[in-house]
Amino acid sequence: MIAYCNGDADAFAELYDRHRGALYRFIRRQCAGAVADELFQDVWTRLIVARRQYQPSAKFSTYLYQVARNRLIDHYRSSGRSPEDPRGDDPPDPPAAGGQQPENMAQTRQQASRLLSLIEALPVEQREAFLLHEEGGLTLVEIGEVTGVGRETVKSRLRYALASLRRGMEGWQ
Amino acid sequence: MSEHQHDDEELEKFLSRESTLSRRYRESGEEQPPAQVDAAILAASRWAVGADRTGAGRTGADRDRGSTRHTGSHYGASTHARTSWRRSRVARWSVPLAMAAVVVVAVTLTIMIERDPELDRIYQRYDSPAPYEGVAMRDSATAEADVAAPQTPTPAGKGVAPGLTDQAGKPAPALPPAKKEGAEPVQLARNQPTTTSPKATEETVHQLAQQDRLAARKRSEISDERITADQSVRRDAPAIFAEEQMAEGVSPAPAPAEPFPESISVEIEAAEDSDVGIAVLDETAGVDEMASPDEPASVDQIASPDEMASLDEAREESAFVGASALPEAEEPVPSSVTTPGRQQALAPEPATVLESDRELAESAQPAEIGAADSVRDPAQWIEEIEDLVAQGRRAEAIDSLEEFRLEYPDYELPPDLLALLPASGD
Repeated sequence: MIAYCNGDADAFAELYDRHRGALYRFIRRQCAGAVADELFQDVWTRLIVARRQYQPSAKFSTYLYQVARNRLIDHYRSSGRSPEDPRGDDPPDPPAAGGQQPENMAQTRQQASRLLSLIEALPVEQREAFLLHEEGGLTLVEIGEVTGVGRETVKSRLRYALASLRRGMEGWQ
Repeated sequence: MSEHQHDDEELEKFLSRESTLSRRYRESGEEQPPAQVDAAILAASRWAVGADRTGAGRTGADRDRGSTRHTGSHYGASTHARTSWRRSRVARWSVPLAMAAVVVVAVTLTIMIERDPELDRIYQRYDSPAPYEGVAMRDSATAEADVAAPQTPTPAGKGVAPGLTDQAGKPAPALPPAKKEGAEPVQLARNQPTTTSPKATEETVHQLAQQDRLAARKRSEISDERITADQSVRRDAPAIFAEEQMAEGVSPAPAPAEPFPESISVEIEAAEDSDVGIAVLDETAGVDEMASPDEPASVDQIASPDEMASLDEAREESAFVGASALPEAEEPVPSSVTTPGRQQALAPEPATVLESDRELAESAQPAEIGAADSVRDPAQWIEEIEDLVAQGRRAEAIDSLEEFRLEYPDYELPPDLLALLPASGD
């Protein structure tokens, strides 16, 4: 990011290529597809605009996901939609009976879809902490910096999130 | 307790990415942003770097706002970047191009003004000596030449050059330059006493002609503006000619209703500037019959030395006779009469004038009387009538007496003259 601020456009391309997938999924798991594309572009645009204000006091990923989180909060506020219901009218798929699923690739796909549905059904703080760790690779401290809470709070959120997911995936194992 | 420990173990595995949930989440798919979004973001990043390098005078925040104004849609981001780049290029070259255009226009106008022949003429006009300077030169030269010229005492005060005085010793009023140029030989000649012989008069006439030639060459350099000014002055020429002829005894010709056309005025100017320099406009012949160097006899007659001598004597006598008839010495005198030859040209019958001095005096006397009819002294008039009766010119005496009665009906006539009148009850 410092190289890009000094005028190296290729540095930004490398940075973008490194974080584009994870950030996109972080946003995509919390809002609908078309909106996710727009928010994703907006996050990077804000990053470009605010490049001179960037201070390398923390990891770039921490800064990047903090910007993305703020943009998501703005989106929630502007759309009036509750962050607890990121998919809107799309309810999570009901769990199917485990004995009825064929043991093939389709089963794996269904398990993934089920897990995603469960993640999207998590409370926003737990989902946020889960995604920040899975997609952003942030530690408990970094997640706490991004979300503005302490390490133990993040740990507690993650514990609850994992418990919810584990319960939701019972029968899909 | 065991459940809490199980959660902690699972959290530890999750944080170390070894949990089953983490594995299954990673297997859920590798969703990637659309290619258009990637292109738009990368284009915006490159444009921002380019704006940093080329943008001058704009703050970074302004450039950033401009670069991200339409980035809400990733499809228009690249287009916006190209448009913004064009705008920045236009803004960069607009000031230098404007300055270059101003310089080109200024240089072009300067060149055009410098090469304008009309302006060159104007500059030459203002660079040339002032008209009064030329007139002063001519005045001094003419005054020197006119010292020995035969002069006729004339009333002063009509266009004497500055610095000169009239007969009464009073400073004469100045005339406009154009008028003064044409009339100055006349005034100088009139204001000088008669001190030379006819021989010297002929020489003086030739000297005047030479002076006029020199002056004509000088005046030929005068611009059209000067000519226009002269024309405006000469619009009063008809009235002046009428006064001149009245003073000379010529029957007054009807003045033109309109001023002279400019072409005629220019011809007058040219004729006066010609080598002859003493051309006279004969109204009876029309303005087109101007004097030219090739036709001196038709318009300008220069008398021989003998004729000039007789003419001078006649002039003196006529002036003496007319002194009582003229109301005052300030009566205007024809300005076109510059020399005795010119005076002769304006006389009603030049041939008669050249016959004898007496005849010249007699031909001039009625003219002077006629010019001053309205102010004749009744006593003198009565004496003239009595003289006519004594000379046996009874008819003339009766005519003059009737005219006297019309002019002065209440005047008491002598009995002898009263007897001349027909019996009308008076």
